[in-house]
Amino acid sequence: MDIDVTSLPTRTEKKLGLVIDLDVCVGCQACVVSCKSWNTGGYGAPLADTEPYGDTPSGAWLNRVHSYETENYGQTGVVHFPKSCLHCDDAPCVTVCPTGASWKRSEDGIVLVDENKCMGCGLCAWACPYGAREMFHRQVS
Amino acid sequence: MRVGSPLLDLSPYVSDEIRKTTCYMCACRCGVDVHVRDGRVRYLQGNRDHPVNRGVLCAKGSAGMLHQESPARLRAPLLRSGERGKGTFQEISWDHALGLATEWLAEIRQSDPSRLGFFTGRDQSQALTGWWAQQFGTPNHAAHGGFCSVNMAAGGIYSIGGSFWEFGQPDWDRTKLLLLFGVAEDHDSNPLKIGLAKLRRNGVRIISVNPVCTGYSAIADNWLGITPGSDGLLIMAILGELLRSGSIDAEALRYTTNAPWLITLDAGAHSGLFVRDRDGTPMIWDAATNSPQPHDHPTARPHLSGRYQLDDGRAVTPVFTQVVHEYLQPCYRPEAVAERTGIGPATIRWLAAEIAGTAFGKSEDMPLRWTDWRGIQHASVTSRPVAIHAMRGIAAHGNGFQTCRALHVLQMLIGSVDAPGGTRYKAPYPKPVEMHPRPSGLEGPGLPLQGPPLGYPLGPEDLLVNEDGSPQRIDKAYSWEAPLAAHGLLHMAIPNACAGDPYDISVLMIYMANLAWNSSMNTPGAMNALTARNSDGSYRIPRIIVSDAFASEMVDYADLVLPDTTYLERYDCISLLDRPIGEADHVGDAIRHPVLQVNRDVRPFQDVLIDLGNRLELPGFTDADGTAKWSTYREYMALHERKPGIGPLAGWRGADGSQSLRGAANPEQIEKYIANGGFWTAELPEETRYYRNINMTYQDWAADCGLLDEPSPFKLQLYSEPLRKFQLAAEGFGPRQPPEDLRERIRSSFNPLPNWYDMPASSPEYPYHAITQRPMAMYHSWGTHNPWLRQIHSFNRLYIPSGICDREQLEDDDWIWLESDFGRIRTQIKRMHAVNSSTVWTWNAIARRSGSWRLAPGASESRRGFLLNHLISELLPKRSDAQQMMNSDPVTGQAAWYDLRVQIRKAPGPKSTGQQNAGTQTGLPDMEPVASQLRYGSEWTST
Repeated sequence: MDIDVTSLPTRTEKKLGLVIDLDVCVGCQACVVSCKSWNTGGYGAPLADTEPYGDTPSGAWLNRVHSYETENYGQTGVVHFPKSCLHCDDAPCVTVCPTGASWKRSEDGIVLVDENKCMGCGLCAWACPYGAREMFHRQVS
Repeated sequence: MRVGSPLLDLSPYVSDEIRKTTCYMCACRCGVDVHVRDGRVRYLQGNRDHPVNRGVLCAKGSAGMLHQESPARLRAPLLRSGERGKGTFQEISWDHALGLATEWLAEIRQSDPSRLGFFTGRDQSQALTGWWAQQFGTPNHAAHGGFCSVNMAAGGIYSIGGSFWEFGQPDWDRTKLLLLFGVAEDHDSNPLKIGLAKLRRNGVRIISVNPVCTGYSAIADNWLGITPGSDGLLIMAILGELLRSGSIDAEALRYTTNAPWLITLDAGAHSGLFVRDRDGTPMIWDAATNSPQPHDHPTARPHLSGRYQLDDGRAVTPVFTQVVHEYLQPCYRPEAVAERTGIGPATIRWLAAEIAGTAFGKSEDMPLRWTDWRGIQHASVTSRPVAIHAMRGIAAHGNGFQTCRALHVLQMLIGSVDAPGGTRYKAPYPKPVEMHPRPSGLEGPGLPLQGPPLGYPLGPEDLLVNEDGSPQRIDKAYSWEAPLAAHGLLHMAIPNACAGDPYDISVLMIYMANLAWNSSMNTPGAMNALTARNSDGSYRIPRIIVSDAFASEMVDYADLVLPDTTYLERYDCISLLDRPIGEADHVGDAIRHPVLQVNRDVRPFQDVLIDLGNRLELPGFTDADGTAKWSTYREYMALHERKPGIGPLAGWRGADGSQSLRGAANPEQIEKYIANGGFWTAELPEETRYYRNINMTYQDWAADCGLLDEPSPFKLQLYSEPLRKFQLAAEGFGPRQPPEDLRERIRSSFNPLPNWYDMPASSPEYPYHAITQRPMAMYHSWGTHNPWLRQIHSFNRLYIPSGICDREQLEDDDWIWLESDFGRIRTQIKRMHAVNSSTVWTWNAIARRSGSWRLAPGASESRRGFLLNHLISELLPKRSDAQQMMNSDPVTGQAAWYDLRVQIRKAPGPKSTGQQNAGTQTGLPDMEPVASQLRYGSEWTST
């Protein structure tokens, strides 16, 4: 089927998402590394890293775990919060994308990126409320 | 504008082949499916059939492919060509390297084998390395246990013939309350995560006792931020509360522990020892006949209390009266321990009530037919659903051994040892201390040891000391300073070898241990010791041989480097002779096998060790005529027999592979393991799964199938007679006497019932405790050259409780001097609430020496990373009598890491840890170039 650039499907047959039970998340980072290792050789482009052995390594990841301290009635604690794409109903990364690279699948609501259409403007990464969309710029020689 | 919906390939080609082996990104031994594509690793996945991790894989395991392609991989044997420690080497051939090693080793074997110190790290080949040391004839062998958690292991073996992690596990399916004490989050993490999730979803309460609230504590129902070093005090306060309220399992105490065993009260050489009959069997006081009877008398009903007189006039009393006396002392009342532990009296009483209420209030009978040690048949087992898991946090203290013992006393009081819902043994445990070997000492030139160098002493007679009381081992294990040093003292090998205390050695051989950095106390001291010279310019430690796969900090200090392979390129054996993969309901072991081809001139260290054994013609490795028995580790794994029918691997034994545990060697055995996914397991029959120490159904089954030599039921040891024997020696009894200056230390630390003593008072100048915590995504030095893992932890900060921040006027990101009485380091800080109010902490082993592991000299690990090791001396400050003791537990010699005390001062000046003044490591010859960008998997992607 055809879709509109910057527009979301009017309805999706299903709404798939990833259920994460924060009640059992210990912040181990297993999902973070496993996701990167599965996807870096698995689809359009590798999830690359700069300065892998240098002063300040950094790279592209599809999810990250953030840790927060909490306080409830004087009881302090720590919450680990894995953040990945939530495949939002109103996915701002789709509505902001000028080329249609960021799109939402009408069959199941999954939000995807078509690297062939991406011009690297970075608006999606700005728009994502969860910081899930990461950019990786590579110089092509 | 309308555009076409892209066509997606939803089932892209993944890999050419899946090869199943055992992970080694840490020591957990999880099963992995290695997806191999074009000879490289495309993806690593947990093996869903594997009994350890059941498909779960952690961050480290998932990052294994970058370990495999690290530019820090060594490429060929290296011979030092300049000054030691300067990183100047030349590549040499394996023939040259092995010839040199053989020459150095053969000379000392013929003159004095103890001049070899052979120490290993977190390897899983101790069944081979220990046996090699034994055949070589040096007692100076140990792995890293003395430096890590020997208190946990030894405290458990001396108490219940088992412990935690590799020895035991919570009964995840039946427990109703889990207590975590000082749990390191990188050990056994996948099984623990699976278990913790199960408990959370079943609504089971988890209580975590830990100074710091991280990972597991974060999902616990209750986190108790205890003050470091006081866990024993908290546990003993709980023991007192349980006794005061009568919340004990008297039947379990009577029939499964030594609670009713009689001890002699009269003063003298036998005071406090068990009363024994003519056969040497400990005795109890039988209520039915009102007479002393052997403890294994089938119909006796033992008293737990009272005072009795034997025919020979001796006054005797059951152990349990001593237990009551010990823990009802006012010093263990909740009000008395609150200040030191940081846990209030009401919380302690609540904790004791939770334990008692769950153990007895939520107990259930499960139908199960089994026979106990008396021959009495039972139709059920009773659950005691309080499980405990503990780790290094409570062990790495100067009072760690007794703290670990106290935790087992708690389990014994409520009858939860190997009970349904409690903490259950992992096969092949339980094994009481008597079933373990004693340590073996030097026999002489050219001679092997009579047994393994490491073992468990039962009394002063088993120490490895000379006539004058001086230590026989270089690390002083099994001396009066560390009598029950069941894992040796890795952390003392280098300082002692440098000091020539107790003697000089000629060759130090190190495998997989980063002793020049994060695996030593007093890192600067270790680096100095490795390069220290005699007045004639020669090195204090004449020869250093290092085997490692990577350009670690330690490699720089080698004279000869024997480059190892990675874990995906070699055979390994996770053996029942060492540290297998048993679980509560099954016995098992596993292998690694090469799933990738080696593309460098490197060899697996195990192959090298066998080669050296052959070249040296060591007994065991060669026949009488010098013919080698095996040329590779693979052959050894399949063909070696430690005892008739018992080899490194238990599966598919016998000529046709039909036997398990015991059977003739099978040359096809390794293929069978590979075909089965790299592991072997056998289920324990249901009726053998509980109370295994006294369950004759288990004992007979285990003896029948070869897990035990013979049925050997035993009682759990609330009261430890071996400890009392050392105490008696300190009191002046017995032929073997401790040096005068150690008498009081032994008397006070070897109490046969665990007691609590504090560490020597620190100066008020150092008011805060400082500890480390293991991150789940990094394992010691192993992960820091891994680009993905180092993005998760590329430097560490000091986490400081808010109260201290307020007092010291500190804000996030400030730089401070962290000072102990031994040294100071510059660190950057972060404020934290969820930490004990007098404790600062940081992540362990993130920092790297500049230039090591092929990281850039300015890498964040070196600029902003720091180790607490720089602040911790391996020796305690001088005592008033000028003696300087090891900074180790006085019972086992475990390194007392977590006794560190510090102060904090704001540090103006450079915003860098300054590489901790360790200098910069220069590169090794002919290493792979380091990429400035990593695009792992790019050849398999479309762009």
